[in-house]
Amino acid sequence: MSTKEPSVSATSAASVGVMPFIWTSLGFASAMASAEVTLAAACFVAGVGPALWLCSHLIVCGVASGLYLQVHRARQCDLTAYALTWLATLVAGPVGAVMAVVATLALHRHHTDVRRLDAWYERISLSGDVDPVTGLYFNVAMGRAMLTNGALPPVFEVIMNEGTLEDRQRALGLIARQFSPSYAPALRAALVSSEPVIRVQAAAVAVKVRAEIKRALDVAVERSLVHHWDLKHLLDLADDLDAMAQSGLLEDADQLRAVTAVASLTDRAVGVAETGSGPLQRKADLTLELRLRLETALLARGRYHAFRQSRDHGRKDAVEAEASAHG
Amino acid sequence: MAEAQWLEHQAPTPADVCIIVEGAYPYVPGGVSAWIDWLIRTQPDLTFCVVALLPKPSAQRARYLRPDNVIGFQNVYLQDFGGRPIKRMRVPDGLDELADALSGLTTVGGRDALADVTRRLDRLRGTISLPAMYNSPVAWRLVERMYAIEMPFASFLHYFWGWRALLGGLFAVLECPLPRARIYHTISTGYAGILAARAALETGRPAILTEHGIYTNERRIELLMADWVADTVDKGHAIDDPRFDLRDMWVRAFEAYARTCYQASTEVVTLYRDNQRAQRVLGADERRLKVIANGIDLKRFAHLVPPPDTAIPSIALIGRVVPIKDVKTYIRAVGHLATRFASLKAYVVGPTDEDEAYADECRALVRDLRLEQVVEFTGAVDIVQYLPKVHIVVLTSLSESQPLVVLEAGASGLPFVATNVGSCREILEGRPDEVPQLGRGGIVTDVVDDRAIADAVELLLRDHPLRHAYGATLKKRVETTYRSDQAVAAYTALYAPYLSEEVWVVNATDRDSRRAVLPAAGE
Repeated sequence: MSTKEPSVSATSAASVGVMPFIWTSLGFASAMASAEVTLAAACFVAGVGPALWLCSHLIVCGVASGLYLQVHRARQCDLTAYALTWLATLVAGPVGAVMAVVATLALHRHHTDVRRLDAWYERISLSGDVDPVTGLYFNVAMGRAMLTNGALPPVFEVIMNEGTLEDRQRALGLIARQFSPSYAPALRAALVSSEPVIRVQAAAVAVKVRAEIKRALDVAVERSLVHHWDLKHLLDLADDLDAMAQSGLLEDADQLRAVTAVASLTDRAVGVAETGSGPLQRKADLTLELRLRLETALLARGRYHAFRQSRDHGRKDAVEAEASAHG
Repeated sequence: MAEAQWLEHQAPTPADVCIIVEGAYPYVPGGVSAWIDWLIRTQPDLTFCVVALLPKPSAQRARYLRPDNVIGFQNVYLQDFGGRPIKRMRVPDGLDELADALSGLTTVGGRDALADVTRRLDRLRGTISLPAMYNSPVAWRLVERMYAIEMPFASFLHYFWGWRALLGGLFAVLECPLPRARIYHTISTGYAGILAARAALETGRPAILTEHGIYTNERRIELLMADWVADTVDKGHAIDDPRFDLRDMWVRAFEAYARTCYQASTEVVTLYRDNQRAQRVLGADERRLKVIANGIDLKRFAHLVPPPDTAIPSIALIGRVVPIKDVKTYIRAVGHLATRFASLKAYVVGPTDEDEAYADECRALVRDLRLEQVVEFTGAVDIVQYLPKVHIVVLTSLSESQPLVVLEAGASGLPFVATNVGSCREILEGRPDEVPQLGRGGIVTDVVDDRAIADAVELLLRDHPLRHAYGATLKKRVETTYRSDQAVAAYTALYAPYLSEEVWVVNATDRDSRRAVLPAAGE
C-alpha cells in the first residue's frame, strides 16, 4: 500500500515524534534565541561596535537558515514556522528570536501536522488523488467493489424488449452515462417502446449521446488516418466507425464521413491481410481468428469479391499456420 | 415592468387558493407557467397567493404580469437553507428518533411519516431553530445516524453532501412561513408537494395536486442520466446489483416525496389518463384521481381557414427552438420531403432566443441539407397569422404533457402529425371512452424518426380528402372536449366544495386550532 491516506499517521509520527527536538520549529526558535542573546551579551560585555555586532547577527541568521533549509527540504516539512522565526530574528535580533520562541510555544499547543491537513483537504475536496491499488483495497474492504459472483451483464437490447420498467430505465441510464455505439440498437428499441416513460427517457438519452457520438466520431476518424495500424486495430476501428454510422444518431454529413472511413479502413485491412504489408504486421501473424473477423467484416460491408479471395487463399494459409503452430 | 409587481408580500387576508410551484411561474416561461397564469386569470372571483420554489436567490425577472387577484407572493429558496455555523452545543434528546423519522420520510414517505417528522422538529425547535440546527453538531449526529441506517457501506463523504442537498431543500419547505389560504394547490410533487402536504397537515385545509408531467419520472430520468451524481459503488454494467448508492438515494427520496404528496392530497388531477398509471404506481388513491384537460379559446381560431389544395404544400412546426422540441428531426423530415415534392414550404414558428446555440445548430443543419429555400424560421410571432398559410402542423417533441399547439391547430381545422408523447395520441385519435367515437384527427409517429414523420406528412399532403377529413375530426374533437370554458368550469367545480369552512377535510388533524387561525370563507 502506498500514497497519502494510509501513510498520513506514519508521516505525522516521523515529523513530530521521531524528529530530534533541535530540528523541530520550537527547537529552531530556541536555538536562534540562544545564539542571538549570547551574541548580544558577548558584544555588550566586550564593547564590540554596532557594525561588527550586525555582521555577526547576519552570519548567525545566514548559517542557521541555510542549515535548517537543507535538513528540512530533505524531510519535506512545512517551513512556515521556521521562516517566520528566521524573519523575526533577522529583523529584531534577540528580541525577535525570543518572541518567536513564545509564538512557537503558543502554536504548539494546537499543533496539527500539515500533512494530515493536506490529506484531509484532498479527501473533502474530492480530488480523487488516490492510488488505484489503494482505492481498490478500500472498495473491497467497504463492499463497494464490483461483484464477481453476480450474473453476467445483460444485453441491453434484450432488456429493452423484455425487461421490467425499472430495469429498462436503469439500462437507459447506463447507456446515457457510458455510451458506446454498440448500444445504439438498444436505444432504437427504447425509442419505439410502447411505454411512454421509456420513450421519453430514450429520447432524452438520444439527444445527450448524439453530442458524444459526434465527438467519438471525430476522434475515430482522426485515428483512422494513422498509417501504422495492424490488422486487429484496423478491424477494431472499422467496427467502431461502422457502429457509429449504423447508429442512426449521426447527422447525414457525419454519417457519410463514418462510412467513408469504414470503407478506407476495410481496404487497408484487405491490403494488410493479402500482403502482410502493415509496418507492424507480418503475414505469418495473421491468425485464423483475425482472418475470420476480416471475412465477417467483408461480408457485412458487401465486399464479396474480397471476401471470396480471403476465404479461398488467405484462410488456407492461416489454417496451415495454425496447424503447424500446434505441432 | 412585470417584475416590479411581484415583490414578496404577505396576503392581508387568507387567500382562497395558494398556488405552490417549483421552478416555473412567474419566473420561467413555458407550459406550466402559462397554465398557472391562465388558471388565476380565469378565476377572477377567487383570490390567490403564490409560493415560488427556487434553487437560490438570484436576479431572475418575473416573466408574467401579476394578475389583480394575486394578493400574496413568496419565494422559498431550496439551496440556500441554514444559519451561521455553530461549533459546540449540547445535543438534545430524541435526536436518534428524529433521524429515524427523517429516514422514513426520505425513503418510504407518506403522510404519517411527514407528520412524525414535523412533530419531532416542533419539539426540537424549543431548543434550537431549524436553520441553526442544519449547521450544527446536531446535524452531524443526524447525518451519522441516517448514514448508518441507510447506506453504511457507501462513501460517507458523498453521502454527507447528498444529505446536505436533499435535506436542505426538505428543511426549507418545512421551515418557510405558510401563507394562510383555504386551498393549497401544488403543481407538482417533489418539494412543492411536500410543502402542500405540510400545509394540509398543519392547517387541516385541503391540498390539491395538478400534475402536468409526472415530476417523479422527470427527476428519475434526470438522475439516472446525471454525471454529477457520484457512483460510489462499482456496479459495472449490472442493472440488478442490489447495493444501494447515491443515485438510488435521490430517486427513492423523490418517490417518497411523491407518495407523501399523493397521500396528503384531497384531489390528484392530471391532464390526461396515461399519466394516472404512474400516479397509481406511486400510491395515489384511485378515488382521488381526476383528469381535467387543458382547453383553448375557440373564438380565436374559429375564423381561420386552411389554404386551398392548389397552394404550395406547406407545413409548420410551432414551438420554441429548443432541444426538447427536437427541431432537428423536423428539419431532417423536411429534407426527405424536399426530394418528394417539387415545391415545399416548411415554417419553424417560435422564438429562437432561448437556446441560441441549438438554434444555430438547426440553421447549420438547414444549410447542410440545402434547405435554405424551403425552411423559414419566423421567430416569435402570433401563430394566428401562420396557421392559415399551412396545410399541416407538425410536432416532433421528445416530451410533452398536453401540448396546446395541437388544440390550436385543431381548432383551425388543420390535421396534425405528432410524435407519440404526452397526450398527443389521446387528442389525435380520441380517448377509448369517447362518445361518439370521432376517429382520427392526425397521425402519430415515433420520436426521433424523421422518415416516419416525412411519410405521414407526405400522405396527408397528397391525399386531400384524407387531410380535410382529419382536420374536420380534430376540430370537432377540440370543440367537444378541449374548450377553455370547460376547463375553467372544471376548476371552479373542483375548488367550490373546499372554499367553505364547514367542509369535512380528510387531512384535518386539529380542526379546532384551524378554526382559530382561519377566518370563515367570504370574510
